[in-house]
Amino acid sequence: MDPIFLMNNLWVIMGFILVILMQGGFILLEAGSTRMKNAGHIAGKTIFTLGIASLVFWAVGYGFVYGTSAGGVIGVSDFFFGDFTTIFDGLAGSVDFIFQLAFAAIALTIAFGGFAERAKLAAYVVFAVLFSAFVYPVVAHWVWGSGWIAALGKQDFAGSTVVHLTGAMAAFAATLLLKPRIGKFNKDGSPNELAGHNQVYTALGVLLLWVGWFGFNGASTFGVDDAFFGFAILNTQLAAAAGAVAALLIAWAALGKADVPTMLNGALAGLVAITASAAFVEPWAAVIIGAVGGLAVFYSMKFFEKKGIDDPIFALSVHGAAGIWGTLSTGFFATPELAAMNGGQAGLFYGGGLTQLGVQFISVAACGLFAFIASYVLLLVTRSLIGGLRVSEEEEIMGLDISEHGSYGYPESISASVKKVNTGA
Amino acid sequence: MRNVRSLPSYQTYDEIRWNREREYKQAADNIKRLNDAHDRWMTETISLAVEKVEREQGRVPAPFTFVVMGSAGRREQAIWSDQDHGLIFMGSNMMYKEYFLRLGEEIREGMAAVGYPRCEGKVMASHPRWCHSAGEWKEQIDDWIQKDEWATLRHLLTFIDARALLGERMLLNRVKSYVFQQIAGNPCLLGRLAENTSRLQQATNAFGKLLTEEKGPYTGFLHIKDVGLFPYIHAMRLLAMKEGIHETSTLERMKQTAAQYPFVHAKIQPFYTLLNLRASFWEHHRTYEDVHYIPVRTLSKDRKKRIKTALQQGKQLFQQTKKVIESGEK
Repeated sequence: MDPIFLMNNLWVIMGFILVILMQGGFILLEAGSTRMKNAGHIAGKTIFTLGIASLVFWAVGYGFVYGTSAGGVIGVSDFFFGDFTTIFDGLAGSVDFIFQLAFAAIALTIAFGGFAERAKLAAYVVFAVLFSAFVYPVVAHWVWGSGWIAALGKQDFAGSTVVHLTGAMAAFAATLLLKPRIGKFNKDGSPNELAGHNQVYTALGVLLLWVGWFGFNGASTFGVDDAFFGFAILNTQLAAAAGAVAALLIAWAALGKADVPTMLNGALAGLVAITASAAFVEPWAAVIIGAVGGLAVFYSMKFFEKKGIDDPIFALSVHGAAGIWGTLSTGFFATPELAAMNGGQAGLFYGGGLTQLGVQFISVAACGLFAFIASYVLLLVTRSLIGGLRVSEEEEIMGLDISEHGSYGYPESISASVKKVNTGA
Repeated sequence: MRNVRSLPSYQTYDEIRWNREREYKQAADNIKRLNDAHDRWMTETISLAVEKVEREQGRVPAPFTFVVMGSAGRREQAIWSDQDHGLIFMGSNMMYKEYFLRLGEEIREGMAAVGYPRCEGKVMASHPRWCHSAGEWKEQIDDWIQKDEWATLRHLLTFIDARALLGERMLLNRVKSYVFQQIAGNPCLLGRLAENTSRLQQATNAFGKLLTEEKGPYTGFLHIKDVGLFPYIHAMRLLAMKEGIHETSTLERMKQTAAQYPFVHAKIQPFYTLLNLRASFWEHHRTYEDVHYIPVRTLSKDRKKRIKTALQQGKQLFQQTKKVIESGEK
């Protein structure tokens, strides 16, 4: 066997493992960012929705993304994937499949950020199936399959749009339909702090995601040729670093306090932003892209809160705002050499004019709009199927650990007052 | 200061509260008038408490003075204010202490009924730490200084704002003079006290915008006491301790030290500005919790500018004072 072929496959499998481990990062990030009474639920749902995403992606998702294209809109073959003889993108078909599956699962986990602390368990189950079948695969087909946006020459190396913006738009639709958590806003619209219960978890979650991102972006080279993955990883590291520093500095300057959750979101925003452009830009541009991501996430968090939108995990800002910026960034910073290597054209700052920026803009608008509308409609379908998306007021107050699963993530630590609700009239 | 024997003018705490509710609107926008009124309401309450305890336990066994501390001590109370008080009595009989602690309890309950919430930090005459004979007070002050811990030095700073509201003023003067002697004989102590209060809350952000509350029911409001008044209060308390000034009002402390410390003079007007700003929003203030919050979005550009200047001046005053104290240590 060709050793390069083998190494390519091993590298991508390594990437798959790292991306699956990012789910562990999300578990810690989300559990740490929410309250104790929902911790077991938040952690547990991530695992079973990973299961649902895997099964649905295997059954239909992969076929919708990479099957024979029906008019550039959706794939219509390769369902129930299992052919060990295929070669796709220079990889064993199974290797390519499993790597793509991990991305689909990440998009779903991002979408569930908008559900946090108030959605019924059944809503997770039904929407996991619908999103994994009908939202993510469509966008992925448009950009990464043989879809109409791919034909325009869109640059989205590892999925600022496909994974992050798509997930964020679903989270946006969910948070609009679910409405804010009890106690998040006062009658005059002013927000309250519903602080996450463990910043250490959140920080560890971010670090785990950061490391996992080396698989997310690094293995999106689909091979080890020229060790180009090292360049993608270098850009990833710089953008994350710049995002964390920029978010910390802007929070410190604007609020007078170096807010830890904002800084952590800055690191993630840097990672999300560089996801589209890791293979297209020079390291100095990666620093700028990450830093702008870090600044954008700060203002985006404030914006959504001011608008009365409750985004407990900051999915809209971290994955939405930074996802949009990251996708547009290649339209500014893509170098001619890297564009020639990886597709599309040079960006505005490298004499490429507005062409690539225009393509990036169209793709952000089209994918974002589709993901939002499709998710909104599918959430309405989910709502009618299960009789409402949101748990009752009493269930929300007692916490989803006990209301949806019958046991607490922290049984010894839940205060008597919360337990009392459970035994009240 | 009135004598306890000519009071009370009311039969119940409720009557005092009703009277307070009737009167406060006329005094709310003027610091002096408002604090005169507070003194009146508190004195009536204490007198009534004394009368009740005397009915229960017999006549007050020894001369005493009832002191108020915190904003009441400094005559800087807003319309709603919590309790901060203590008792100094003559003699050292343990029976006296029991009696005065009981009196402290009655005063605490009476003041709560009149509308002064209990002090969360328990700075109240009902607590053994704040109810002593003059001799015990001196021992406690020695103990606080010797222990030299953050909490004990904070107690000492609290005590320095004590003002006699009722009874024998000389008891307080005697204890305070003792504190001033200790400070004069211990050059490091003032530095430690300055350190104790040196955490100043940031008033504006790096872009020069007033830093308001980010979350909660006071979103967009400025906490004028934490951000604006405290630097002035802390600075002038330190200078008063250095110079042995018995006066407790920040403005009076400023006036008495301005000749010796020229930098103080320019800070009088900005401190007034902040006090008047809070008073001008009295109609928005319905409870003790919201009494220091200013809705920044309702302020004109010019007023915001004046506030920012006053906030900067307060910070400068504290820093200049700290320098004076540090130079005295060398």
